Amino acid sequence: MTRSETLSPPPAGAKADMPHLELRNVSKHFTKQSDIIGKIAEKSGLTRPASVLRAVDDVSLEVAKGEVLGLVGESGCGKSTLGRVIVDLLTPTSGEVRIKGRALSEMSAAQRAEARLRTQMIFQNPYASLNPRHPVSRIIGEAPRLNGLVKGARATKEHVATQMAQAGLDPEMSGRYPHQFSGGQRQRIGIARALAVQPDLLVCDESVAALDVSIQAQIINLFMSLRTEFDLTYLFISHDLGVVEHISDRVAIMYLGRIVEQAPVAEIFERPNHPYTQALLKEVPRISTRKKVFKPLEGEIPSPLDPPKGCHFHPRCPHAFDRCRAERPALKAVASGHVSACHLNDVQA
Amino acid sequence: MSEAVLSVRNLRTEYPTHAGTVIAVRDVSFDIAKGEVLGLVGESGSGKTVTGFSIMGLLETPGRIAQGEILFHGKNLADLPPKEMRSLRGNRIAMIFQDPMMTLNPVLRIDTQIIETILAHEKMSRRAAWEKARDALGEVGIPEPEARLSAYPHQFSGGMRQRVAIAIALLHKPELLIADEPTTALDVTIQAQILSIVQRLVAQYGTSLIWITHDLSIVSQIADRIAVMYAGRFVELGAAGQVIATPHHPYTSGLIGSIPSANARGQPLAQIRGTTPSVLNLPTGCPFRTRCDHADEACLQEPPMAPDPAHPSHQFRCHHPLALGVAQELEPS
Repeated sequence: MTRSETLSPPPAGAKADMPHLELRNVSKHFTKQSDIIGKIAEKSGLTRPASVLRAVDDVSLEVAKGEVLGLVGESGCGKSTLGRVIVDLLTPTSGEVRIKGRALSEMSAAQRAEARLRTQMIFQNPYASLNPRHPVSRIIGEAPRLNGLVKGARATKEHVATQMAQAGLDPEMSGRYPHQFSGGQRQRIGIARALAVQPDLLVCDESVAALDVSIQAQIINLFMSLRTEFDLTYLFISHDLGVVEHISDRVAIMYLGRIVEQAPVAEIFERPNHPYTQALLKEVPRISTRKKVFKPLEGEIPSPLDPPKGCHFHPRCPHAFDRCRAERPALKAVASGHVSACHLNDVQA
Repeated sequence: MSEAVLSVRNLRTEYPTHAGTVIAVRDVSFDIAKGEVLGLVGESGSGKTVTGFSIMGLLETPGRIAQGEILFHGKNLADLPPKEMRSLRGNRIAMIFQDPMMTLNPVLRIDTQIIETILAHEKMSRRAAWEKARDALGEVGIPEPEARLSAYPHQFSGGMRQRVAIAIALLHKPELLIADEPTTALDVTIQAQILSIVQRLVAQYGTSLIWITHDLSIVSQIADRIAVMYAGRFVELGAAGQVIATPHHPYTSGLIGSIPSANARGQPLAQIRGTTPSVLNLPTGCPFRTRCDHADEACLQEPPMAPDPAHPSHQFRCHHPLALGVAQELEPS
């Protein structure tokens, strides 16, 4: 196998046109704010300066127009922070978020507001992400009205009815409040709200995780049919490999703030390269007619406040060797469109 | 099958409310043999947790067992005096919860809590109890158990807390362990660790296990038999491989079809339409008929639990069973 030294993955399926979304070396760090006593203690050398949490650490990726990129990782890996950086809820500490070829930081205020409007987020918790004091008509209708997408009460009402019908809700229920809906219906309200401003990129952060299996299937089907209907681009963030496998074109695996592997969906499930990906795939419970003896990966996910040196995964990795403890592995191509950050790829011939 | 450790007969658990009586569990019967793993699968509100709580005698008022028997080695737990129930609970019957903080007291050190549990059911010196506690933590794979014994629950991660809860539940090598979604809140790699620990210890101690979950995938890989619950009833019960390969109830079949990995990538999932009906307002007859593609007038009468003629141990509650008499093996994935 030949191995090129490219750092960024070749844009799969994007060919000549630029990616819809591009992240260039994006990092997001959080620093604990010291109170006055803490500051004095730091100055006088009594305590060490507050530690830095590198929630997202030098992440580069591309999502082509109309593509679904699945972003998989366990708790604390930074996948939600990355989602929030993309929808411009958080500003990256360094690096660039580019939408349709233009960096957010270089846009004028109006352009940036437009970019924000075209990138919508659907949240995990359908209970917390809807204002309990507003009727559904206002939850869905407010943003398009304020942004001038619809004018007048009658047009807004029609717009809300269309959005509700698209998301599989009865428009007759537009006067009801969130508490009068079930969890699955609330998630549909969240989807209708996002679609009401005619976005072209949806960031779904664990959007089906809180739902019962039969309802989850309905929402996944809804996402898939909306994609073809409106030519939507998705960043689908989830810890559930089964869901991601089902709806994604490409998959990126994240561990402690870094992307460790990225490949087209068939490639990553058939030929996982990174030991972490391999372990994840092995341990996902799958429906089967046979019992299985679970032989898990040992160890816990380290604290992102104090991540291991070198490759973050080395303390849990069955193949770790000296270099893994010292040097951060770079993402390198292991096959067409398939990148992985593992030193083993340099060792094996 | 050897003698049943637990036999539940026609269990009915009710909650009287202002809006009417909620029948959370209705006509549930099953046996579990020594060392057997029974997977109890259902969605929110299906009555799976209430079934577990009924067996444990942990129903909160106004919930009550209105009918039926819960026979543990022939002794009916449903009308056991509280004192006798307490001597069984945590000793011969134990439970682990979705949230390990249901088991753990946040203001007490781990050693205090474990030693208390040991001494509640066994006569031994404090020193011996401490050693037993240490060994128990070691068994569930907690590193440096001696040092960790003097920690408080908040100093443990979610996965480690669940290990402590498992260690406490298994202290007296119970004959029956009820696990209520203990891995739902955990990450994939940590979930696999917990599954592996429970699998190993349950086999080692010969403990019968009831694993309650919404996740058919997990249960298909750890259970000997699977029971599927819907609206408080068992709708299907049988050997795990048979229930997965040839589900007879349309609800079971729909649940399997809803699992993304059971479908071809990118294809629409075989979803079940509609939403789970409220337990206060169930359709008459078969509670699933309003969501079922096979429903007709016959379904206005609630069907009884009936055996599959080919495999009498595989039972279902449906007038129009699917794939009856089909003896097929699903290829292992």
